[in-house]
Amino acid sequence: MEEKLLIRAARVVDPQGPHHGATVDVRIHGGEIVEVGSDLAEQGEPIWQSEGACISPGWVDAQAHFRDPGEEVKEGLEAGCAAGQIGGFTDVAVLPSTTPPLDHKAEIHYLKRRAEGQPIDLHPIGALSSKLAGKNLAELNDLRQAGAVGFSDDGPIEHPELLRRGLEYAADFGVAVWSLPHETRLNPDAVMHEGVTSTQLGLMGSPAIAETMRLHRDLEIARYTDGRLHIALLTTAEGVNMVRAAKSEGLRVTCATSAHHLLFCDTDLNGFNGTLRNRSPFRSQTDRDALRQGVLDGTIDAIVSDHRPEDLEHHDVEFMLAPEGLAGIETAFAVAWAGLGEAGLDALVAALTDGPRRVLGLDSVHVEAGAQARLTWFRLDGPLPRGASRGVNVPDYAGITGTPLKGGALGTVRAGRVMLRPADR
Amino acid sequence: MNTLSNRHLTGIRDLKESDIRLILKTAEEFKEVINRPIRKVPSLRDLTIANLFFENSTRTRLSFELAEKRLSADVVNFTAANSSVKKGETLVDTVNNILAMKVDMVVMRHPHPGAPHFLKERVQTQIVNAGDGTHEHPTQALLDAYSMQERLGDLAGKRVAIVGDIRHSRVAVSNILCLQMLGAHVRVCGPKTLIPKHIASLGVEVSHDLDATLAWCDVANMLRIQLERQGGEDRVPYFPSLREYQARFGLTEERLSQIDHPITIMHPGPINRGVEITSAVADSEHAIILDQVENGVAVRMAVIYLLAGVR
Repeated sequence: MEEKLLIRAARVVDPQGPHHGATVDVRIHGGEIVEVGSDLAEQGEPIWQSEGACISPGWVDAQAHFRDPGEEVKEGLEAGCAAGQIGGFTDVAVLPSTTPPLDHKAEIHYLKRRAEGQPIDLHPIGALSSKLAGKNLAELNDLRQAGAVGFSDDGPIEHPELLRRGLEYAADFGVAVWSLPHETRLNPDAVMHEGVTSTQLGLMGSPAIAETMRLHRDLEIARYTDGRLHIALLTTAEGVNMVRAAKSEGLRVTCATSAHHLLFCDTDLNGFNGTLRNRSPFRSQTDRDALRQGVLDGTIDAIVSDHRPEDLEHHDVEFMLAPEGLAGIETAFAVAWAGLGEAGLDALVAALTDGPRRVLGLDSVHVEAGAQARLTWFRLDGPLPRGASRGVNVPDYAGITGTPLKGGALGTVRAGRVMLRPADR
Repeated sequence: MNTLSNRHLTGIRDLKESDIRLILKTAEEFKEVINRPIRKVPSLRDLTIANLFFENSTRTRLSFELAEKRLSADVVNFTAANSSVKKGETLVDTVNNILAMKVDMVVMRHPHPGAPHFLKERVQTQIVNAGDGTHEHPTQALLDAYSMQERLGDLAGKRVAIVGDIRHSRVAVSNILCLQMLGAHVRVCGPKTLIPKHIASLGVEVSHDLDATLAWCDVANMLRIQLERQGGEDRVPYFPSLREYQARFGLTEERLSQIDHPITIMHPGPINRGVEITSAVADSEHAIILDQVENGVAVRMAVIYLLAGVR
């Protein structure tokens, strides 16, 4: 597609790029940025211009679930991809915990093929173990050849030998093994973070050490194997400290947290707010503040949506029956932006661009002449972008935090395709 | 004030101190009623109440049913065992089906914490929580407070110990909140495994020593040890054996004889005689266990009567 576009007067947010901080015009032609400068002459191409708009390399969501194949009624590939584009993402990595799981090259091929022509580039994460059963390694090389960008069982790796063998085996082709550090056996009945709120609600809680004891194990195995480990979702202050120390020691470890973990904490579950039930629980305010700090100082590589859409029938049930996880790919930027605040913009964009590209092993992209046109055009205020996701498990942000969310993508440019969000078309 | 500030009773957390005092005062009047030769008043002749028990609790259901009948309400009972809940019907559908038959108020027991809170946002009726999992059991806390007051007078400054399985108790949180609003000091006592780690944040003392606790308290509320907490597949039991639990936390005559001040013994029932409390203690003059049961009817009459007034 040979689409042309001129983006006018956008502030560049591209911390590692040459024009960071400048307000520029960007001319795009044939999938490439051909010119970056001020007051570029119009050449009859469409123009994007919006007061106060910013531009950055295309955002990457390193962890989302489109429920496809298997539970298409909750989202499906088409709705998921459309929702990703509305959320400002040019690239989305999807989890392997589908039905059937992405544990064989055929499933990866299937998804890649179906994603052709969709408004985002889809990057399947392959299963670490066959059938996600936590026993035998899946055919990791096959998965990699088919296009898998990581190996994950989308959950805790119970058996240390599986993590060890996975890290050893995958080291040959430079793809990260993903672990979710969470020891469920510490309290199998836990449904939220253990704290004052869980005590008041009479709910069983999972203490922060459920994460750190597993994280300690995982980092030890990463050190021993010299493998490439990705911590899929951090929730605790101590977890951030541990990853910071591991990185400064030189371990090949990356980590992520979700946008929602930068906004919510356990007290927000007061009144039995089932929408906020999460396998990686929202923890104390101290933990949340440490996660924010971890993004600001770069310890946390990626902010993910951890988009886990649900349909109404599964979602609108009592707290104890509520599924774990939230929908959030459309609002991830606004949620993280609300969590991090003004001072966090550069770090936020880094955690949506360079960071997740590092995690997934994708080439870096910048706003500069001669680079491929892979861009997100966005605002820091204005109403939330919404509309394509089928997921109804979206929290009432204003009701919980007292302030409505603001900001989000206005459009994306990817591989020569330029797309405004539907509401603005 | 002679009306409640809330149209539901989902927990003691819904209530203000004035609500609690109003309920206890009203219960006093109803206790007089149920001790008359004709133990029935026509107050709620136009009211239909459904007792929805999604978990078995014969005595709580009986207590509510008697309270409702003595107020002349029409009563229907529903238990999950013989319902379409087993066929996969949602909670909201189940309740709406019952409400469609023109029911005015729902009394519900449910195994899941938060179930009445979920329901009250979604159905058009008044809800009385008769116990939601390990969360709250407000009428039990109210009848406990009533029974303590009956024995001890004003509870301000009184020391109340709650002993046993605090972790799995629906009574503990309700009791703590209720007693604190009435000015009492509360201590929880039990093995560390059965006490939530953050319970002190509710403003209670924590002890793992029953003898010291008995020496401290005016009232000991002995919670039932649920035998099913003894473990199960892939679970580590909360204590090694009933024998050892009884040795450390069972209330015996011998323990009572060490105390040199008056003490009131309570138990929400059903009792495991010989586990958390021996027969000799349960049947002693210190125990007000059957008074609690009697007061339960009066307190539930008061709750339903007052809620009917804020329809």
